[in-house]
Amino acid sequence: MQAFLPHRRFSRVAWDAAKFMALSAFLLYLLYRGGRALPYHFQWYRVPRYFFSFQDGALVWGPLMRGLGMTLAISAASFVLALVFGVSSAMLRLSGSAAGGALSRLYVESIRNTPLLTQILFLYFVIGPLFALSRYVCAILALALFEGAYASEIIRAGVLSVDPGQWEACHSLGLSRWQAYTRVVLPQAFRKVLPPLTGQTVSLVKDSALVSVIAVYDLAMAAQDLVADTFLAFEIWFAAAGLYLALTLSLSALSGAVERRMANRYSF
Amino acid sequence: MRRGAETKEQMNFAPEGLCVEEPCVIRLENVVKIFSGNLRALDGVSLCVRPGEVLGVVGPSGSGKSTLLRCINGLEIPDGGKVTVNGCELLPGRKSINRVRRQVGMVFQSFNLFPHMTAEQNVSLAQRMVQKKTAAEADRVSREVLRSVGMEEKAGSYPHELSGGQQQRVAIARALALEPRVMLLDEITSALDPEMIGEVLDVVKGIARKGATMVVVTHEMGFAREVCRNVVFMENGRVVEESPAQRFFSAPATERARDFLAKVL
Repeated sequence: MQAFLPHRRFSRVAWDAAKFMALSAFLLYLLYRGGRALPYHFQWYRVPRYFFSFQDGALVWGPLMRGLGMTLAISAASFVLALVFGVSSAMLRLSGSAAGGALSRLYVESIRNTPLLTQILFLYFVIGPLFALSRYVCAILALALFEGAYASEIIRAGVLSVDPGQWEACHSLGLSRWQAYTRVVLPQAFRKVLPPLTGQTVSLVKDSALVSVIAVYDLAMAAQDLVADTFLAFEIWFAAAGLYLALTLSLSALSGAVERRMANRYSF
Repeated sequence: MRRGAETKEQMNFAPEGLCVEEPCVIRLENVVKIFSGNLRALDGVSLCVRPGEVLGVVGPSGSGKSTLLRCINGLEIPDGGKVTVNGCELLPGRKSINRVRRQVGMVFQSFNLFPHMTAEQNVSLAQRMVQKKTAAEADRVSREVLRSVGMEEKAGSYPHELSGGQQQRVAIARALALEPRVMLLDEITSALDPEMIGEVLDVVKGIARKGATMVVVTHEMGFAREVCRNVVFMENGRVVEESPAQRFFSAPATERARDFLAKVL
């Protein structure tokens, strides 16, 4: 029996791999057929210069990379702000105050149940002029409000998943509510919400493409411009998608590394 | 108006203004606690714990022992009656509750250590946050208290690296470090494997010998007999019998206490 086991496991893995490769081959074949059937002449060789080029021996970033930089900057700024909105809204909801709970609910429900595109346009054309906000501030604010509403529910679930005994220990030691949150409850909740929060951050990066409607020169806007100039629709959009993919995959990898680091230090 | 102003002044500048001279460290007068509408967890409990006294609270499960402890440090707010700690009445306001909590240390059945902090950080957190000690001062006290419970070598360990008995000793150290006037121990050995009960009870005996005031809810009758001066026997939210420990265990005065002891001993 003992001797059999490794052999059986190997054959099962081999059979799995064979099935996987057969399926991939079939899908690739479909893709190839689709590509051939498409009356489109791919000109990939024209694409690299839109990433970067060399002029007089100096490296010059192309529109795609400059757009990526803007996407990254906007996403990073709205991520930080979204965390602030999310944590505040979750704490309001959990505060036990009727007004605070209603406010938080109103925020979460109104944001989650309307399109982000509408929110961006509303912020830029209605709220923006009131406070003389630039298009960048409007873009960051809109994204942060949107993702913050989702983060709020994630963080609330994380806080509720922390053992009530932790609160009691804090209370019995005389810690204030704020101290209990910041020193004891949120650090534990953070660990639990890291995976869903990462998913939300990936959404944030992709949703940031919508800010191009208020003429923020992000990756999506750069791609749109290039397509209009060059007619390389498929090549440019695939290239932009590849850049988004690279960004979100590195985010997931980063969060995975943080998770492993915390798992090594303590487990609960 | 005049009266209101006076009260406010007392609150801000003379917190002892609301407190009175009092021979009991803890005094409960006719305390009532009602859960979910009709369950009377505490049904008119009165008692007095004097300085240096170790009071044992025993009784069947669901008799209100834990609720009694939780009412003393404001984890539960009584629905009736009066709780006084060190002469200061426990009122529903945050200020009053915090004043009482600063004088009361509590140890829980399930330890409730902070899992993301080392033993030493667990012990020093409240010293720094609540008592506003400097990091160096808190460190010094933490080491000292951890030594007194035999845990100085595990100061840098996280709770999950410790056994149940060790975790509970850290939890005791965490409460002791704040130098409370009274310690509340809520079934602190009930979640432990049998071989670890001894080490925790030894620590508690050591604290008792130093003259600490404690209220101990326990199922360890031998321990209660050895450590407690007085014992309160509770049933259905009421104090059925209150006697000196020796007498309670050798010749209980009430029928129900006799039945209970016959079952558990």
